Amino acid sequence: MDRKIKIIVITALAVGWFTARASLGFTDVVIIVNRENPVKTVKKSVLARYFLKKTTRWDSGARVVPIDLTVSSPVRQEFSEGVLQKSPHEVEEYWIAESLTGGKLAPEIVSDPALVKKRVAADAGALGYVDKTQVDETVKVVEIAE
Amino acid sequence: MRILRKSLTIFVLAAVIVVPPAFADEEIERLKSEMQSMRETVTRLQETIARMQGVIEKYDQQPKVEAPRPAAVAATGDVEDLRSEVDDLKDDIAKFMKISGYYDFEWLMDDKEASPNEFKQHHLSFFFDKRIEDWHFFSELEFEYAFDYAGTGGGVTGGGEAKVETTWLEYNHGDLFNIRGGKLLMPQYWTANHYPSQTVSTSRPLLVKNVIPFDTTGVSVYGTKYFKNEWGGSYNLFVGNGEAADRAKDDANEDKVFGGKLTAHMPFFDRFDVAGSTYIGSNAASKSEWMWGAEAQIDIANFGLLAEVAHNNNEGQFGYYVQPSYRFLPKWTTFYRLDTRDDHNQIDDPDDSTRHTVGLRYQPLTAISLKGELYKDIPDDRTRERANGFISSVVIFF
Repeated sequence: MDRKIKIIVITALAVGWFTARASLGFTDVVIIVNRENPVKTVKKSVLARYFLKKTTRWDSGARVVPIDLTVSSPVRQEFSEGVLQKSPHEVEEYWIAESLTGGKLAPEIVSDPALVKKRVAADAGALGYVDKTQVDETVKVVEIAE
Repeated sequence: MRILRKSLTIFVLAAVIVVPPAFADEEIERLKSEMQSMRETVTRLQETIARMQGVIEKYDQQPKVEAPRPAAVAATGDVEDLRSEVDDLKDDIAKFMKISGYYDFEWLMDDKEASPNEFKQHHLSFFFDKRIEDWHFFSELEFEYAFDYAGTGGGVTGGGEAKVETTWLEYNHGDLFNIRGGKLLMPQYWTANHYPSQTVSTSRPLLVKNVIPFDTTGVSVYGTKYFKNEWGGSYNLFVGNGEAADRAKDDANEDKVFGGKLTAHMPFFDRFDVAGSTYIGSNAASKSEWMWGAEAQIDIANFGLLAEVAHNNNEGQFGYYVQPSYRFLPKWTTFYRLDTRDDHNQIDDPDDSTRHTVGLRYQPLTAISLKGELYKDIPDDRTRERANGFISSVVIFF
Protein backbone atom coordinates (compact mmCIF):
# COMPACT_ATOMS: atom_id res chain seq x y z
CA MET A 1 0.00 0.00 0.00
CA ASP A 2 2.86 2.35 0.87
CA ARG A 3 4.46 1.62 -2.49
CA LYS A 4 1.21 2.38 -4.32
CA ILE A 5 0.83 5.66 -2.47
CA LYS A 6 4.39 6.63 -3.35
CA ILE A 7 3.77 5.87 -7.02
CA ILE A 8 0.57 7.91 -7.01
CA VAL A 9 2.23 10.87 -5.29
CA ILE A 10 5.23 10.84 -7.61
CA THR A 11 3.00 10.55 -10.68
CA ALA A 12 0.79 13.39 -9.47
CA LEU A 13 3.80 15.59 -8.81
CA ALA A 14 5.24 14.79 -12.22
CA VAL A 15 1.95 15.52 -13.99
CA GLY A 16 1.52 18.71 -12.03
CA TRP A 17 5.05 19.80 -12.78
CA PHE A 18 4.77 19.03 -16.49
CA THR A 19 1.52 20.93 -16.79
CA ALA A 20 2.60 23.84 -14.62
CA ARG A 21 4.24 25.67 -17.48
CA ALA A 22 1.34 24.94 -19.83
CA SER A 23 -1.16 26.45 -17.43
CA LEU A 24 0.67 29.78 -17.11
CA GLY A 25 -1.45 32.38 -18.76
CA PHE A 26 -1.22 36.07 -19.28
CA THR A 27 -2.38 38.39 -16.60
CA ASP A 28 -1.20 41.91 -17.37
CA VAL A 29 0.68 41.57 -20.65
CA VAL A 30 -0.98 42.39 -23.98
CA ILE A 31 0.21 41.89 -27.55
CA ILE A 32 0.27 44.96 -29.77
CA VAL A 33 0.54 45.41 -33.53
CA ASN A 34 0.47 48.33 -35.93
CA ARG A 35 -2.99 49.85 -36.39
CA GLU A 36 -2.88 48.98 -40.11
CA ASN A 37 -2.30 45.29 -39.40
CA PRO A 38 -5.58 43.44 -40.15
CA VAL A 39 -4.84 40.67 -37.62
CA LYS A 40 -7.26 40.56 -34.68
CA THR A 41 -6.39 37.23 -33.06
CA VAL A 42 -3.15 35.26 -32.92
CA LYS A 43 -2.70 31.74 -31.64
CA LYS A 44 -0.18 31.42 -28.83
CA SER A 45 1.86 28.88 -30.80
CA VAL A 46 1.96 31.17 -33.85
CA LEU A 47 3.00 34.10 -31.63
CA ALA A 48 5.87 31.98 -30.31
CA ARG A 49 6.97 31.18 -33.86
CA TYR A 50 6.94 34.89 -34.73
CA PHE A 51 9.15 35.81 -31.78
CA LEU A 52 11.53 32.90 -32.34
CA LYS A 53 11.52 33.73 -36.07
CA LYS A 54 10.48 30.23 -37.08
CA THR A 55 7.80 32.01 -39.09
CA THR A 56 8.90 35.32 -40.54
CA ARG A 57 5.85 36.48 -42.51
CA TRP A 58 2.32 37.45 -41.64
CA ASP A 59 -0.45 35.69 -43.60
CA SER A 60 -0.49 38.79 -45.79
CA GLY A 61 3.14 38.12 -46.79
CA ALA A 62 4.49 41.16 -44.96
CA ARG A 63 7.60 40.58 -42.86
CA VAL A 64 7.01 40.09 -39.12
CA VAL A 65 9.19 42.43 -37.04
CA PRO A 66 9.10 41.31 -33.40
CA ILE A 67 10.28 43.74 -30.72
CA ASP A 68 11.52 42.40 -27.38
CA LEU A 69 12.00 44.06 -24.03
CA THR A 70 15.21 43.62 -22.04
CA VAL A 71 15.78 40.33 -20.21
CA SER A 72 15.41 41.98 -16.81
CA SER A 73 11.91 43.29 -17.56
CA PRO A 74 9.16 41.51 -15.55
CA VAL A 75 6.88 41.95 -18.60
CA ARG A 76 9.48 40.08 -20.70
CA GLN A 77 9.65 37.37 -18.04
CA GLU A 78 5.88 36.86 -18.14
CA PHE A 79 5.79 36.90 -21.94
CA SER A 80 8.69 34.42 -22.22
CA GLU A 81 7.20 31.93 -19.77
CA GLY A 82 3.63 32.33 -20.94
CA VAL A 83 4.03 32.40 -24.72
CA LEU A 84 7.47 31.07 -25.63
CA GLN A 85 7.33 28.40 -22.90
CA LYS A 86 10.95 29.27 -22.14
CA SER A 87 12.64 31.39 -19.51
CA PRO A 88 14.48 34.48 -20.82
CA HIS A 89 17.72 32.52 -20.12
CA GLU A 90 16.55 29.71 -22.40
CA VAL A 91 15.54 32.23 -25.06
CA GLU A 92 19.07 33.69 -24.92
CA GLU A 93 20.42 30.16 -25.40
CA TYR A 94 18.18 29.80 -28.43
CA TRP A 95 19.56 32.98 -30.01
CA ILE A 96 23.15 31.92 -29.28
CA ALA A 97 22.41 28.68 -31.14
CA GLU A 98 21.01 30.69 -34.07
CA SER A 99 24.19 32.82 -34.09
CA LEU A 100 26.39 29.72 -34.17
CA THR A 101 24.51 28.08 -37.03
CA GLY A 102 23.99 31.11 -39.26
CA GLY A 103 20.31 31.29 -38.39
CA LYS A 104 18.04 34.22 -37.77
CA LEU A 105 19.01 37.40 -35.92
CA ALA A 106 17.46 37.95 -32.51
CA PRO A 107 14.62 40.49 -32.37
CA GLU A 108 15.49 44.06 -31.58
CA ILE A 109 15.58 44.64 -27.83
CA VAL A 110 14.42 47.94 -26.39
CA SER A 111 14.55 49.04 -22.79
CA ASP A 112 11.36 51.04 -22.58
CA PRO A 113 7.75 50.06 -23.32
CA ALA A 114 7.26 53.50 -24.85
CA LEU A 115 9.84 52.56 -27.46
CA VAL A 116 8.05 49.28 -28.12
CA LYS A 117 4.90 51.26 -28.92
CA LYS A 118 6.86 53.74 -31.03
CA ARG A 119 8.44 50.95 -33.06
CA VAL A 120 5.13 49.12 -33.50
CA ALA A 121 3.32 52.32 -34.50
CA ALA A 122 6.00 53.09 -37.10
CA ASP A 123 6.25 49.67 -38.80
CA ALA A 124 3.25 47.91 -40.38
CA GLY A 125 4.77 44.46 -39.68
CA ALA A 126 5.94 45.13 -36.14
CA LEU A 127 4.79 43.06 -33.18
CA GLY A 128 5.42 43.73 -29.51
CA TYR A 129 4.14 43.25 -25.98
CA VAL A 130 3.59 45.70 -23.14
CA ASP A 131 1.83 45.93 -19.81
CA LYS A 132 -1.88 46.51 -20.42
CA THR A 133 -1.76 49.83 -18.55
CA GLN A 134 0.61 51.21 -21.17
CA VAL A 135 -1.61 50.70 -24.20
CA ASP A 136 -2.73 53.85 -26.02
CA GLU A 137 -4.35 54.83 -29.31
CA THR A 138 -1.09 54.60 -31.28
CA VAL A 139 -1.18 50.78 -31.37
CA LYS A 140 -3.73 47.99 -31.65
CA VAL A 141 -4.16 45.12 -29.18
CA VAL A 142 -4.65 41.62 -30.58
CA GLU A 143 -6.25 38.75 -28.71
CA ILE A 144 -4.33 35.61 -27.95
CA ALA A 145 -6.02 32.32 -28.77
CA GLU A 146 -4.88 29.04 -27.25
CA MET B 1 44.97 8.84 -42.41
CA ARG B 2 48.51 10.32 -42.72
CA ILE B 3 47.92 11.08 -46.40
CA LEU B 4 44.62 12.71 -45.48
CA ARG B 5 46.29 14.81 -42.80
CA LYS B 6 49.07 15.89 -45.21
CA SER B 7 46.53 16.75 -47.88
CA LEU B 8 44.48 18.76 -45.38
CA THR B 9 47.60 20.61 -44.20
CA ILE B 10 48.57 21.48 -47.78
CA PHE B 11 45.02 22.62 -48.45
CA VAL B 12 44.99 24.89 -45.39
CA LEU B 13 48.38 26.39 -46.30
CA ALA B 14 47.18 27.07 -49.83
CA ALA B 15 44.02 28.73 -48.54
CA VAL B 16 45.84 30.90 -45.97
CA ILE B 17 48.98 31.88 -47.88
CA VAL B 18 47.97 32.11 -51.53
CA VAL B 19 45.71 35.18 -51.69
CA PRO B 20 45.06 36.32 -55.26
CA PRO B 21 46.83 39.68 -55.59
CA ALA B 22 44.04 41.03 -57.81
CA PHE B 23 41.62 41.05 -54.86
CA ALA B 24 44.03 42.49 -52.25
CA ASP B 25 43.70 46.16 -53.28
CA GLU B 26 39.91 46.01 -53.52
CA GLU B 27 39.78 44.40 -50.06
CA ILE B 28 42.01 47.14 -48.59
CA GLU B 29 39.80 49.86 -50.04
CA ARG B 30 36.66 48.19 -48.74
CA LEU B 31 38.17 47.85 -45.26
CA LYS B 32 39.27 51.52 -45.32
CA SER B 33 35.72 52.52 -46.20
CA GLU B 34 34.30 50.37 -43.36
CA MET B 35 36.80 51.86 -40.88
CA GLN B 36 35.86 55.41 -41.95
CA SER B 37 32.18 54.55 -41.44
CA MET B 38 32.95 53.14 -37.99
CA ARG B 39 34.93 56.30 -37.06
CA GLU B 40 31.95 58.46 -38.05
CA THR B 41 29.60 56.32 -35.95
CA VAL B 42 31.90 56.51 -32.92
CA THR B 43 32.06 60.32 -33.30
CA ARG B 44 28.25 60.52 -33.36
CA LEU B 45 28.10 58.26 -30.31
CA GLN B 46 30.50 60.53 -28.43
CA GLU B 47 28.43 63.60 -29.35
CA THR B 48 25.24 61.87 -28.16
CA ILE B 49 26.85 60.90 -24.86
CA ALA B 50 27.95 64.51 -24.36
CA ARG B 51 24.38 65.70 -24.98
CA MET B 52 23.03 63.08 -22.55
CA GLN B 53 25.45 64.35 -19.90
CA GLY B 54 24.19 67.87 -20.53
CA VAL B 55 20.56 66.78 -20.13
CA ILE B 56 21.34 64.89 -16.93
CA GLU B 57 23.07 67.97 -15.47
CA LYS B 58 20.10 70.09 -16.49
CA TYR B 59 17.66 67.76 -14.67
CA ASP B 60 19.91 67.63 -11.60
CA GLN B 61 19.76 71.42 -11.36
CA GLN B 62 15.96 71.51 -11.57
CA PRO B 63 13.87 71.69 -8.33
CA LYS B 64 12.90 68.20 -7.14
CA VAL B 65 9.29 67.13 -7.85
CA GLU B 66 7.50 66.33 -4.57
CA ALA B 67 4.73 64.04 -5.82
CA PRO B 68 5.81 60.80 -7.54
CA ARG B 69 5.09 60.78 -11.27
CA PRO B 70 2.91 57.98 -12.65
CA ALA B 71 4.77 55.68 -15.07
CA ALA B 72 2.58 56.59 -18.02
CA VAL B 73 3.70 60.25 -18.14
CA ALA B 74 5.30 60.98 -21.52
CA ALA B 75 9.03 61.71 -21.53
CA THR B 76 10.25 65.23 -22.28
CA GLY B 77 11.28 66.17 -25.80
CA ASP B 78 15.02 66.06 -24.96
CA VAL B 79 14.85 62.49 -23.67
CA GLU B 80 12.70 61.38 -26.65
CA ASP B 81 15.20 62.92 -29.07
CA LEU B 82 18.08 61.20 -27.33
CA ARG B 83 16.31 57.85 -27.41
CA SER B 84 15.65 58.29 -31.10
CA GLU B 85 19.32 59.14 -31.74
CA VAL B 86 20.52 56.11 -29.79
CA ASP B 87 18.15 53.90 -31.80
CA ASP B 88 19.46 55.38 -35.05
CA LEU B 89 23.00 54.64 -33.90
CA LYS B 90 22.01 51.07 -33.08
CA ASP B 91 20.67 50.75 -36.64
CA ASP B 92 24.00 52.04 -37.99
CA ILE B 93 25.99 49.62 -35.84
CA ALA B 94 23.76 46.75 -36.95
CA LYS B 95 24.85 47.39 -40.55
CA PHE B 96 28.44 46.39 -39.79
CA MET B 97 29.49 42.79 -40.19
CA LYS B 98 28.68 40.87 -37.03
CA ILE B 99 31.65 39.02 -35.57
CA SER B 100 31.13 36.47 -32.84
CA GLY B 101 32.82 33.27 -31.75
CA TYR B 102 33.47 30.71 -29.11
CA TYR B 103 36.42 29.31 -27.20
CA ASP B 104 36.76 26.12 -25.21
CA PHE B 105 39.43 24.65 -22.99
CA GLU B 106 39.39 21.04 -21.78
CA TRP B 107 40.84 18.68 -19.20
CA LEU B 108 40.83 14.94 -19.94
CA MET B 109 41.80 11.96 -17.86
CA ASP B 110 41.29 8.22 -18.20
CA ASP B 111 42.49 4.95 -16.73
CA LYS B 112 44.06 3.52 -19.87
CA GLU B 113 47.71 2.57 -19.75
CA ALA B 114 50.20 4.95 -21.40
CA SER B 115 47.46 7.60 -21.65
CA PRO B 116 48.53 10.77 -19.84
CA ASN B 117 45.98 13.15 -18.40
CA GLU B 118 46.04 16.31 -20.45
CA PHE B 119 44.82 19.82 -21.02
CA LYS B 120 43.53 20.70 -24.47
CA GLN B 121 43.19 24.18 -25.85
CA HIS B 122 40.64 22.80 -28.25
CA HIS B 123 38.63 25.37 -30.20
CA LEU B 124 38.92 29.01 -31.04
CA SER B 125 36.35 29.89 -33.67
CA PHE B 126 35.22 33.12 -35.26
CA PHE B 127 31.91 33.65 -37.02
CA PHE B 128 31.38 36.35 -39.62
CA ASP B 129 27.79 37.26 -40.40
CA LYS B 130 26.65 39.95 -42.79
CA ARG B 131 23.14 40.60 -44.09
CA ILE B 132 22.18 42.90 -46.92
CA GLU B 133 18.44 42.94 -47.61
CA ASP B 134 17.54 39.28 -48.32
CA TRP B 135 21.15 38.19 -48.86
CA HIS B 136 23.07 36.59 -46.05
CA PHE B 137 26.78 35.73 -45.83
CA PHE B 138 28.08 33.49 -43.04
CA SER B 139 31.45 31.94 -42.33
CA GLU B 140 33.20 30.10 -39.52
CA LEU B 141 36.98 30.22 -39.25
CA GLU B 142 38.19 27.63 -36.77
CA PHE B 143 41.54 27.15 -35.06
CA GLU B 144 42.06 23.92 -33.15
CA TYR B 145 44.74 23.04 -30.63
CA ALA B 146 46.56 26.39 -30.82
CA PHE B 147 47.44 26.19 -34.48
CA ASP B 148 51.01 27.26 -35.06
CA TYR B 149 52.52 28.04 -38.45
CA ALA B 150 56.20 28.84 -38.70
CA GLY B 151 56.77 30.98 -41.78
CA THR B 152 59.91 31.64 -43.82
CA GLY B 153 59.22 28.61 -45.98
CA GLY B 154 59.31 26.19 -43.05
CA GLY B 155 56.78 23.51 -42.24
CA VAL B 156 53.79 23.66 -39.92
CA THR B 157 54.65 23.01 -36.29
CA GLY B 158 52.45 21.90 -33.45
CA GLY B 159 49.44 19.64 -33.70
CA GLY B 160 47.00 22.40 -34.49
CA GLU B 161 44.59 22.91 -37.31
CA ALA B 162 43.18 25.95 -39.04
CA LYS B 163 40.24 25.66 -41.35
CA VAL B 164 37.24 27.31 -42.83
CA GLU B 165 34.68 25.05 -41.15
CA THR B 166 31.79 26.45 -43.16
CA THR B 167 31.26 29.43 -45.43
CA TRP B 168 28.29 30.28 -47.60
CA LEU B 169 26.14 32.92 -49.19
CA GLU B 170 22.38 32.50 -49.29
CA TYR B 171 19.30 34.21 -50.61
CA ASN B 172 16.31 34.24 -48.24
CA HIS B 173 13.21 34.28 -50.41
CA GLY B 174 10.93 33.42 -47.51
CA ASP B 175 10.15 30.75 -44.94
CA LEU B 176 9.41 28.20 -47.65
CA PHE B 177 12.39 28.72 -49.94
CA ASN B 178 16.00 29.72 -49.36
CA ILE B 179 19.02 28.86 -51.51
CA ARG B 180 22.55 28.60 -50.19
CA GLY B 181 25.92 27.95 -51.85
CA GLY B 182 29.32 27.28 -50.34
CA LYS B 183 30.97 24.84 -47.97
CA LEU B 184 27.93 23.39 -46.25
CA LEU B 185 27.64 21.32 -43.09
CA MET B 186 25.44 18.27 -43.40
CA PRO B 187 21.93 18.94 -42.02
CA GLN B 188 21.87 16.04 -39.53
CA TYR B 189 21.24 17.31 -35.98
CA TRP B 190 24.62 16.94 -34.24
CA THR B 191 26.61 17.94 -37.32
CA ALA B 192 24.62 21.16 -37.72
CA ASN B 193 24.51 21.90 -33.97
CA HIS B 194 27.87 20.55 -32.74
CA TYR B 195 29.10 23.77 -31.16
CA PRO B 196 30.30 23.55 -27.53
CA SER B 197 28.16 26.57 -26.59
CA GLN B 198 25.08 24.57 -27.67
CA THR B 199 25.81 21.02 -26.55
CA VAL B 200 25.47 19.81 -22.96
CA SER B 201 28.45 17.49 -23.35
CA THR B 202 32.09 18.10 -24.22
CA SER B 203 32.51 14.87 -26.17
CA ARG B 204 30.56 14.17 -29.33
CA PRO B 205 28.66 11.00 -30.19
CA LEU B 206 30.71 8.24 -31.81
CA LEU B 207 28.78 8.34 -35.06
CA VAL B 208 29.48 12.00 -35.84
CA LYS B 209 32.20 12.42 -38.49
CA ASN B 210 32.46 8.63 -38.72
CA VAL B 211 29.14 7.34 -40.00
CA ILE B 212 27.63 10.65 -41.12
CA PRO B 213 29.71 12.69 -43.62
CA PHE B 214 30.48 16.12 -42.21
CA ASP B 215 30.22 18.54 -45.10
CA THR B 216 30.13 19.10 -48.82
CA THR B 217 30.79 22.03 -51.11
CA GLY B 218 27.79 22.73 -53.24
CA VAL B 219 24.29 24.17 -53.16
CA SER B 220 21.37 23.56 -50.87
CA VAL B 221 17.76 24.68 -50.73
CA TYR B 222 15.75 24.68 -47.55
CA GLY B 223 12.52 25.90 -46.05
CA THR B 224 9.81 25.41 -43.47
CA LYS B 225 6.02 25.46 -43.60
CA TYR B 226 3.54 25.36 -40.72
CA PHE B 227 -0.11 24.50 -41.29
CA LYS B 228 -3.30 25.68 -39.59
CA ASN B 229 -3.46 22.50 -37.50
CA GLU B 230 -0.02 23.39 -36.05
CA TRP B 231 1.77 20.58 -37.86
CA GLY B 232 4.80 21.69 -39.79
CA GLY B 233 7.49 20.39 -42.08
CA SER B 234 11.04 21.39 -43.03
CA TYR B 235 13.22 20.31 -45.88
CA ASN B 236 16.90 20.67 -46.68
CA LEU B 237 18.17 19.31 -50.02
CA PHE B 238 21.73 19.55 -51.26
CA VAL B 239 24.02 18.66 -54.12
CA GLY B 240 27.79 18.93 -53.89
CA ASN B 241 31.26 17.46 -54.26
CA GLY B 242 31.83 14.01 -52.80
CA GLU B 243 33.96 13.24 -49.77
CA ALA B 244 37.63 14.00 -50.52
CA ALA B 245 40.42 16.03 -48.94
CA ASP B 246 40.10 18.84 -51.50
CA ARG B 247 36.29 18.77 -51.81
CA ALA B 248 36.07 22.55 -51.38
CA LYS B 249 38.29 22.98 -54.46
CA ASP B 250 37.31 20.18 -56.83
CA ASP B 251 35.55 16.87 -57.10
CA ALA B 252 37.47 13.62 -57.41
CA ASN B 253 35.08 12.31 -60.08
CA GLU B 254 32.09 13.23 -62.21
CA ASP B 255 29.65 11.93 -59.62
CA LYS B 256 28.08 14.45 -57.29
CA VAL B 257 26.59 13.73 -53.88
CA PHE B 258 22.91 14.32 -53.36
CA GLY B 259 20.91 14.21 -50.22
CA GLY B 260 18.78 15.95 -47.74
CA LYS B 261 16.73 15.87 -44.62
CA LEU B 262 12.97 16.03 -44.15
CA THR B 263 11.63 16.97 -40.73
CA ALA B 264 8.11 16.72 -39.34
CA HIS B 265 7.27 19.25 -36.60
CA MET B 266 4.45 17.73 -34.57
CA PRO B 267 2.28 19.77 -32.17
CA PHE B 268 2.96 17.62 -29.12
CA PHE B 269 4.61 18.82 -25.90
CA ASP B 270 6.99 21.78 -26.21
CA ARG B 271 8.76 20.23 -29.19
CA PHE B 272 8.39 16.98 -31.10
CA ASP B 273 10.47 16.78 -34.25
CA VAL B 274 11.33 13.63 -36.17
CA ALA B 275 13.43 13.57 -39.30
CA GLY B 276 14.87 11.27 -41.91
CA SER B 277 17.95 11.98 -44.01
CA THR B 278 20.07 10.53 -46.76
CA TYR B 279 23.39 11.07 -48.55
CA ILE B 280 24.12 9.40 -51.89
CA GLY B 281 27.22 9.72 -54.03
CA SER B 282 30.78 8.62 -54.67
CA ASN B 283 33.75 9.30 -52.45
CA ALA B 284 37.34 10.10 -53.47
CA ALA B 285 38.03 6.45 -54.24
CA SER B 286 35.05 6.56 -56.65
CA LYS B 287 33.34 4.11 -54.37
CA SER B 288 29.60 4.40 -54.03
CA GLU B 289 28.60 5.84 -50.69
CA TRP B 290 25.07 5.80 -49.41
CA MET B 291 24.00 6.89 -45.95
CA TRP B 292 20.57 6.93 -44.36
CA GLY B 293 19.75 8.45 -41.01
CA ALA B 294 16.91 9.28 -38.65
CA GLU B 295 16.67 11.58 -35.67
CA ALA B 296 14.27 12.84 -33.03
CA GLN B 297 14.21 15.88 -30.78
CA ILE B 298 11.62 16.02 -28.02
CA ASP B 299 11.25 18.68 -25.31
CA ILE B 300 8.77 18.32 -22.45
CA ALA B 301 9.08 21.13 -19.90
CA ASN B 302 12.64 20.74 -18.52
CA PHE B 303 13.21 17.28 -20.04
CA GLY B 304 14.89 16.92 -23.41
CA LEU B 305 15.55 13.88 -25.57
CA LEU B 306 17.91 13.72 -28.54
CA ALA B 307 18.43 10.62 -30.63
CA GLU B 308 20.11 9.89 -33.95
CA VAL B 309 20.80 6.73 -35.89
CA ALA B 310 22.69 6.35 -39.16
CA HIS B 311 24.02 3.67 -41.46
CA ASN B 312 26.65 4.17 -44.14
CA ASN B 313 27.36 1.43 -46.67
CA ASN B 314 30.98 2.61 -46.86
CA GLU B 315 32.57 -0.23 -44.86
CA GLY B 316 29.16 -0.97 -43.34
CA GLN B 317 29.31 1.69 -40.64
CA PHE B 318 26.41 1.98 -38.23
CA GLY B 319 25.90 4.15 -35.19
CA TYR B 320 23.32 5.67 -32.91
CA TYR B 321 22.98 7.67 -29.74
CA VAL B 322 20.19 8.40 -27.30
CA GLN B 323 20.63 11.37 -24.98
CA PRO B 324 18.03 12.33 -22.38
CA SER B 325 18.74 15.52 -20.43
CA TYR B 326 17.09 17.35 -17.56
CA ARG B 327 17.41 21.01 -16.56
CA PHE B 328 16.86 20.62 -12.81
CA LEU B 329 17.69 24.24 -11.98
CA PRO B 330 17.66 27.26 -14.32
CA LYS B 331 21.44 27.10 -14.77
CA TRP B 332 22.05 23.38 -14.26
CA THR B 333 21.47 20.55 -16.74
CA THR B 334 22.30 16.90 -16.33
CA PHE B 335 22.40 14.30 -19.11
CA TYR B 336 23.09 10.70 -19.93
CA ARG B 337 24.12 9.43 -23.33
CA LEU B 338 24.27 5.92 -24.69
CA ASP B 339 26.04 5.77 -28.01
CA THR B 340 27.54 3.12 -30.16
CA ARG B 341 29.48 2.79 -33.35
CA ASP B 342 29.87 -0.38 -35.34
CA ASP B 343 32.32 0.04 -38.19
CA HIS B 344 32.16 -3.28 -39.95
CA ASN B 345 29.19 -5.13 -38.55
CA GLN B 346 31.69 -7.68 -37.30
CA ILE B 347 31.77 -8.21 -33.60
CA ASP B 348 35.56 -8.40 -33.36
CA ASP B 349 36.30 -5.15 -35.20
CA PRO B 350 38.67 -3.00 -33.06
CA ASP B 351 36.71 0.21 -33.75
CA ASP B 352 33.37 -1.11 -32.52
CA SER B 353 32.47 0.27 -29.14
CA THR B 354 29.64 1.37 -26.93
CA ARG B 355 29.97 4.32 -24.61
CA HIS B 356 27.99 5.38 -21.55
CA THR B 357 28.37 9.03 -20.62
CA VAL B 358 26.84 10.92 -17.74
CA GLY B 359 27.49 14.58 -17.08
CA LEU B 360 26.56 18.00 -15.80
CA ARG B 361 26.54 21.45 -17.32
CA TYR B 362 26.49 24.65 -15.29
CA GLN B 363 25.87 28.01 -16.94
CA PRO B 364 26.67 30.88 -14.57
CA LEU B 365 25.81 33.14 -17.52
CA THR B 366 24.06 32.13 -20.72
CA ALA B 367 27.27 32.59 -22.72
CA ILE B 368 29.44 30.57 -20.31
CA SER B 369 29.28 26.80 -19.84
CA LEU B 370 31.18 24.66 -17.36
CA LYS B 371 30.89 20.99 -18.20
CA GLY B 372 31.98 17.72 -16.66
CA GLU B 373 31.27 14.15 -17.72
CA LEU B 374 32.25 10.61 -16.84
CA TYR B 375 32.31 7.96 -19.52
CA LYS B 376 32.77 4.25 -19.82
CA ASP B 377 33.86 2.72 -23.13
CA ILE B 378 32.98 -0.90 -23.75
CA PRO B 379 34.63 -2.27 -26.89
CA ASP B 380 32.93 -5.16 -28.69
CA ASP B 381 36.32 -6.82 -28.93
CA ARG B 382 36.69 -8.17 -25.40
CA THR B 383 40.46 -8.42 -25.71
CA ARG B 384 40.72 -4.64 -26.03
CA GLU B 385 41.24 -2.52 -22.95
CA ARG B 386 38.12 -0.94 -21.49
CA ALA B 387 38.41 2.71 -20.68
CA ASN B 388 36.85 4.86 -18.03
CA GLY B 389 37.46 8.56 -18.17
CA PHE B 390 36.53 12.05 -17.16
CA ILE B 391 36.29 15.06 -19.47
CA SER B 392 35.69 18.64 -18.41
CA SER B 393 35.60 21.90 -20.28
CA VAL B 394 34.86 25.58 -20.00
CA VAL B 395 33.27 27.35 -22.95
CA ILE B 396 32.56 30.97 -23.73
CA PHE B 397 30.45 32.37 -26.55
CA PHE B 398 31.32 35.96 -27.46
